[in-house]
Amino acid sequence: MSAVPLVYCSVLALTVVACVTASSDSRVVETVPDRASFEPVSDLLDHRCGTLDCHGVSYRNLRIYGREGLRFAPDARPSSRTEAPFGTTVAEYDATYQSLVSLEPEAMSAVVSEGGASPERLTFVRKARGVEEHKGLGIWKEGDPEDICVTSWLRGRTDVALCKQALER
Amino acid sequence: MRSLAIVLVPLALAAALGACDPVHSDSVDALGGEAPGVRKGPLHRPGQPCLRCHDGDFGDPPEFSVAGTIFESQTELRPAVGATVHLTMHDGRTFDATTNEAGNFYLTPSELTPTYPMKVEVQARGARTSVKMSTTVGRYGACAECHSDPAGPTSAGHVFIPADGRTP
Amino acid sequence: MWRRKASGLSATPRGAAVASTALVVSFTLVLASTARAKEPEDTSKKSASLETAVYADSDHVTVFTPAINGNVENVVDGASLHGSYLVDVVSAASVDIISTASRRWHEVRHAGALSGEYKPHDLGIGFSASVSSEPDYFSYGASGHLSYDLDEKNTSLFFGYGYGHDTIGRAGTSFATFARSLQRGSFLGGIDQVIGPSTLGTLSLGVIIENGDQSKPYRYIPMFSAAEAAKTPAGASVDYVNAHRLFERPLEQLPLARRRFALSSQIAHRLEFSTVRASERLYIDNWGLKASTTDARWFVDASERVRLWPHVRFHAQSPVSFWQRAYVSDGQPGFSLPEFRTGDRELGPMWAVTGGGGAKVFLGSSAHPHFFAVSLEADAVYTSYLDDLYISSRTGVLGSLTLELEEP
Repeated sequence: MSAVPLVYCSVLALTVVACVTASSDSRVVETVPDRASFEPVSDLLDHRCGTLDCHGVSYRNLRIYGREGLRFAPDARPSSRTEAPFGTTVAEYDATYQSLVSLEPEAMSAVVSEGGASPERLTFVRKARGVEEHKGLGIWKEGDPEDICVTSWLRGRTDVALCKQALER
Repeated sequence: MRSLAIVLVPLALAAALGACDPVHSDSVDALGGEAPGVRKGPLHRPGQPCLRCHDGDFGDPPEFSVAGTIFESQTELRPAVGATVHLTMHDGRTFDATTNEAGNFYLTPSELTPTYPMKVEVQARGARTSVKMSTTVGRYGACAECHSDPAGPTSAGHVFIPADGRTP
Repeated sequence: MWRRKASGLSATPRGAAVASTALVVSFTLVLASTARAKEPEDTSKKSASLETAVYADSDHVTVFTPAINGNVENVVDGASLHGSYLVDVVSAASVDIISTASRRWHEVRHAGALSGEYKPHDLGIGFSASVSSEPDYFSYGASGHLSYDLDEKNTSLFFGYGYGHDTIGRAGTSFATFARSLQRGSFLGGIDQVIGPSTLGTLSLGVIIENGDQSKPYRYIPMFSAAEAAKTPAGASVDYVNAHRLFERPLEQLPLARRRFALSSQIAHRLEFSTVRASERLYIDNWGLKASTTDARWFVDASERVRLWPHVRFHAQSPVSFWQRAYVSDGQPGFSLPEFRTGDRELGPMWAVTGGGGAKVFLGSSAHPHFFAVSLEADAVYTSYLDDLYISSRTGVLGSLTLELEEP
């Protein structure tokens, strides 16, 4: 039996497939949570997650900068003082923000565009709550002040008072 | 049986060659060799991250759970002998360790397996008050992992407590 | 009583592809054999093998794979059964892991498969089923196929369909908390043709349709500014990437559908004391990846009890259409990121050459020399990554030792 029909079908199929490819130029523009109200959240993350043995390490996918851990400027040092020049700088807040909101762009866009609904779709929320494997274990539980601080920011209404309260715990 | 050994040994060697941990190996190599005149033991390598080697892996020295060095000065490496390191675990347990002649202290897992985050206070020998670490220890019990020299954007510098116990 | 049966072994370079064929639990075989032995005429042929394979490479990945395999041919006229079970013990500290300052991880995968065929005359029907389980990945599949002989069995047509389902999770996390699904439909059709008195050829076309998100949940892709991306060299070190990348490091994201096509051909030619077997596979998919894989072995009957074979293989592929060595983020305010982004070197441009060989020794008695055989196979693989971060080449070794029993 001739194999010509099989070869013909194969070449045709391969040709069709060759024209159907995932675009190399397509981009996704994220819907991101508010940067202006991020700083109280960043302070909390710096304190609870950003130690130099955890996310205060530049090799981590989630980098957290702040006065209590990883600093941005070459002449900066970790510090317990909050006033300038020792406190967390604007550049450090920006860096932490960019690192955090870009971890899962698609999931972040979905959560933010839905008003912060189902924040557990984000891995950093699940890991902080301890429901997903995390070397740092569970940092807080769902409903704790820390958790509400973060999720309120995702909803677009950062609970600044609760974030400060969480920082003192 | 001999031919089997000829086959299995190279296979085992190949497996062993691929079994190294580059992150760990590089970080241990970066610590350098022993200081001249100081033999391996409780007084060696003050200021280095103890758990890099004392991690419990096969062939490594005895495992530590929490270990580090306390100095007396920010600018000099004078050991703070007899200082008390007070540890408070996330679950409320506490534990006190005392530094030796090199300023070193170390705890084995049988003595303490910490739950993180862990709070730390250090009290100089004879001092009335202790100094609290402003942040917590996230997940790793080696002080020098974060407190290495020189101080900079990624390190708080070595741990020190003045002999008078005042806040540094 | 056991008879010799040749068992081919194909060496494959990565841990996930090390295991080849399968075996039935030997207890079942023994039981079947015992039961059969009581029947007046046992025309079945039984064989079993125990294989141990080891893979190690310069990227600090090691895989140890013990496997058992069993076959029963002619259970009843024209029927056969095959089964297998293997364990992959994987230990990895590759550059992908090092790039996040993580330490070596270890994982164990279990896989089993069962297949059978019934072909009493010219028309045959077959089935297969498989399952694979590891802490963050569960996979199962089943397939069926038909075969039909023509022209006094000089020509055989075959066609099959298979379905597979993968559940992709994260280690240490229940599938209820995090899981993705990937479904796979496979079609395979082809022809076996006797070309000459000593030559057999095969031509086949395979189509695989995959739907689902198969992005790696652990792989985060470093982003660069346009200026830095242009300067980032191939094989850039972990430290270089870490120093020059932006703060954004998003998860890998692959297209949610993949259509794969492979045209394969194989020819086997028997010479006086040897058999040459060569194959060529052309691959293309709708992600833009095109590949060619050429494989050849030459089985030489060095003596009645010794068979040797050298082996060479060459593979080359172009990258997927969305491949970038260094992806660009446009930064604030909108964080414009590439819609599709990957760091999987198996999707990038590469070529690999494999060389090695094997030997098989029949150690049975003079009456039944093929009752017991030992096979040893070893290959070295050199892979060149043409446009990747962190690594530009990798050298691996793969070895296996197989013990076979075959009923006389």
